[in-house]
Amino acid sequence: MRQKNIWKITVGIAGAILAVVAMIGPTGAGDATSPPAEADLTLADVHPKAGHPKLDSSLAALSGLWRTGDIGQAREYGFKRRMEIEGDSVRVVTETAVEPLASASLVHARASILKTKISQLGGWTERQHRNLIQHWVPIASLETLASDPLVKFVRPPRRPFKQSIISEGVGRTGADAWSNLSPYRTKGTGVCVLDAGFGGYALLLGDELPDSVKIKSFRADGDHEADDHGTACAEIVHDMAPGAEMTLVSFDTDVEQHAAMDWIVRQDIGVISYSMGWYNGGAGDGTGPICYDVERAADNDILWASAAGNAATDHWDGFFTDNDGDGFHNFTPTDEILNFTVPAYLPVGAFLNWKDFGLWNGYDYAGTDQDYDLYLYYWTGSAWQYIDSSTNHQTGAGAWPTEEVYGWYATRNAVWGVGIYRSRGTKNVRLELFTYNNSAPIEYVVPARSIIVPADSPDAIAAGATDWSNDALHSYSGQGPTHGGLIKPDLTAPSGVSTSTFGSRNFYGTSASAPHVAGGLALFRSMTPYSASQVRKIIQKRAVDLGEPGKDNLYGFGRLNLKK
Amino acid sequence: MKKTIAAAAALLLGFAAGAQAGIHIALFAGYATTPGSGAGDGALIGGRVGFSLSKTWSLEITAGRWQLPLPGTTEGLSKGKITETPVELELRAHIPLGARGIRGYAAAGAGYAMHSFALDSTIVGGWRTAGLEVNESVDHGLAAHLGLGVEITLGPAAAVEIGARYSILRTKGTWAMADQAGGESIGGTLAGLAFDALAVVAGFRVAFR
Repeated sequence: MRQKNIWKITVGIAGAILAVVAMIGPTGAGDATSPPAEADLTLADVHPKAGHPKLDSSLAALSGLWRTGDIGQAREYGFKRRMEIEGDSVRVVTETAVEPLASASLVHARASILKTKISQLGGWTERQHRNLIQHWVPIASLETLASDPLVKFVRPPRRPFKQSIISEGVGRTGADAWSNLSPYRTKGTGVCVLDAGFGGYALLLGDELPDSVKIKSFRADGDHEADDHGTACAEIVHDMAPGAEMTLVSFDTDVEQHAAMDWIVRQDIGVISYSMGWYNGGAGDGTGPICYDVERAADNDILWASAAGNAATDHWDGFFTDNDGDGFHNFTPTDEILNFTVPAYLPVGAFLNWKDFGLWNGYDYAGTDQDYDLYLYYWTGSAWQYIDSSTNHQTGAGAWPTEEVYGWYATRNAVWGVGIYRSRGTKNVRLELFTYNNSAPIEYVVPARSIIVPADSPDAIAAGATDWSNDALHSYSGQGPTHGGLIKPDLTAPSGVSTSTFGSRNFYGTSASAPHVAGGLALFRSMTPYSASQVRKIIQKRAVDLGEPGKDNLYGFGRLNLKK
Repeated sequence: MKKTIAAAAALLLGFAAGAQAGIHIALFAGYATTPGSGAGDGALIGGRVGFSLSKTWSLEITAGRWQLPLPGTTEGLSKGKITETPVELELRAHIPLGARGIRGYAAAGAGYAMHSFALDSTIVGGWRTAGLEVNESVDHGLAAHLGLGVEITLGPAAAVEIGARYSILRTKGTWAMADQAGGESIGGTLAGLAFDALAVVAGFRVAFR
């Protein structure tokens, strides 16, 4: 996929302006067929800035004309500038003022306040996407709106210029070989992208996404656009299988996902693209409530392409060892703290579980009476400082064998540490630790068994991440086997590809790989009469074998391949 | 069954009793179209060997061949070309029309048709690019036809004939898709395929006595 070439666009626009200027022709002295060789601008050529500094200059001019009372002239100006004016209101986008790396909840809260203020000014909101509010506002109130301290800037809505970009993974996997084919004796089941949100999806319809999609939100807040991660995934699915009908389903919690699955299995859906993962979401052996959703999909003839997770560099597992008898696990004979580095302002996450979940009965695990606790430390530069801990009571019933600490952050790159304490242990159980947002492999990293839930499900087609340009395995790509002994992932697929949603930031991770696999599956489900189980076999047999011959715990069967 | 055979034998013996013994051959060509089946039009050629049983009746063995384009349907055959080669036993009645040397005829026949189907090469090639082999075929089957027309005698042993012929061609077929990499295949039957054809034919007949 090609990057948007801003320079080309800029040069193109500049060229167009020059062409227009050339068409207008010379207005003064000099050669009648070409501009003068020298032009001298003076202070007199400078137009004084007018209007509020947080107001787009065109809106400031509109506002100024409106305030003079010459409504006709103001409307004419708006028309010339292609503004949308209805009655006494104009359509604008207000950018909410947020600090870099502000949390999503803070942005949402501020935008909500702003929407109320817009309403009080006589405006009304059409759509909100993160810090951007697209709304109508009385022209007379533009200055007042811009003066609000929560407002960063007020501008006309931007319009896209079609410069479709196709995932590089399409060519790498051979999906382009299907581009001229018509469906053959198929019912044409669709593909569902199940994700946290689909921010900005409407702007991509008919271009990076199908002309129309079915959308359904199971989030409690009903916000289908709370996140744009799903949009980027949907783009890839569409790039891979442009003819497949698409359903976008959003959720935020485990309960919402289960509710979503209740709905999905009743739809005409043949493939689910799932680029989410759960720490402590199950035993890691294919059991648990999240994997149960995958099982339900399989029972309904739905293939589930799941991200293998990006945890190969964030994962440690091993058995409890206490060399000095102080109750804390020794990662080495002399080290009881595993450390890792997290960039500034990113929340730290540490997730501990141990493999004593007990029997999974389809609803819940039997439970454990082995009790471990998780401690979080912060390196001050000279000493470890205790920050937090997770100390659930595992008494044999109730709490799962899991502990987690999440949400702390530092204002600079910081080294964090975790310790594991055994409150009660009578069995030798395997401990497993995941961290989140570390910028480099954690200390004592153990890539094996880093497959994340629900990619551990035997029914999931787990997708690892390989570089789209050379099939090299990304170091973070989750590795098998599962804690149930299954070889995982099942396949690898391209990562590091371009998407319109993420723009200049290429889409890396198994989150990008899973929709490539889902798109490949969707090609078969939407274009051929093969059953779900047959498609799975075909996809696996066609894979370009990488790594050790045959299926292995790094590449699975190999890289997704859809052509001959 | 025995009664049917006996009746047929008696009929043939009856014809033979009044036969004006002689064999004739005819070649014909025409243009076939397929009302109702959605197939296209195409040229038809054929031949006939006949045995005159009487002034009125003759028994003919007729064979024809035509190839028609199929636009393809989702339930039936895909886009391609169907070739029909029916070989039938025909009973033909000749009816004087009054004018000297001109006779009408009515014919009915039944037999066996060899159908062959060639899937459109772009479909085959397209799926091959995607690593899948697609194949569709049709079975041979029974055929029948009805015909009406006139014969114009050119001499003691020659005549030309112009007529119309409606062929009833019903069969079934199969489709299959196979993955070239692993051989995973799927297929099914295509029941109720109908390639009935209405043809206008003109022919030349020579008799041997």
